[in-house]
Amino acid sequence: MLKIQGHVTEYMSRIFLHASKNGGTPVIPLLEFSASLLYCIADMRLNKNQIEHLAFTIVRHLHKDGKVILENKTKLLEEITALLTEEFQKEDDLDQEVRDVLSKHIEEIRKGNLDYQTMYRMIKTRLAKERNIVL
Amino acid sequence: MSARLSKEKINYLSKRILDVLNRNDDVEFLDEPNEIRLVIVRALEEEMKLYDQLDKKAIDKIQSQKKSIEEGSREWDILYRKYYNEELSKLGKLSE
Repeated sequence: MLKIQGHVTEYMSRIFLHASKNGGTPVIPLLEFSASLLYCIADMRLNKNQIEHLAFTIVRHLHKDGKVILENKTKLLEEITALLTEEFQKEDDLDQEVRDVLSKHIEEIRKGNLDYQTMYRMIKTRLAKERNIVL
Repeated sequence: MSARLSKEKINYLSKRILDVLNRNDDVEFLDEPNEIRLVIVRALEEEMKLYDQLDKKAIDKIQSQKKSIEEGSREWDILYRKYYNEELSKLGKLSE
């Protein structure tokens, strides 16, 4: 955890340094930074209803296609729902961590005219790669 | 709330779900595992298209209101979630 945080901090420092060498010129196109943008980024995962419906659709397809015999559809539905929940939770946790990292650098982001959303994606991609999380 | 999964994520999830099927004693395979995985891929892709339709329906419903609601405002977000979930619930009931 600390090691990863260190990597990200170093990575962000390089971005800020690059921005300052350019005389404060935005290195990345500037987008308006707002609470609503944070809100949008935080809300990209699937919710509980969507996950349950997705699991239902998968079981329905498997049943309809006739390539498997399902003795206990309810049990399978629960297992797939649990798997999907776990998988999307990993991404949610990652999102939260990226928000935490960026919140510590919020002033630098503002001063450097850096695009929050671009930074968000860059750090998320990097952390996901380090942890073998498929995005 | 409109969700999109990357091709990589869909493939990854299909493999993990195939593992779940493999471990489940109540599931018998009648075809090659990869053929079954492709069924799962199609289901995931179909669901993503469905989410796009729900997204459009929710937005249309907001835009059809007498009062103009600014996109991105708190009111817009609340209504969007409400209408999206309403549409999703309707589908669940219809497909059961």
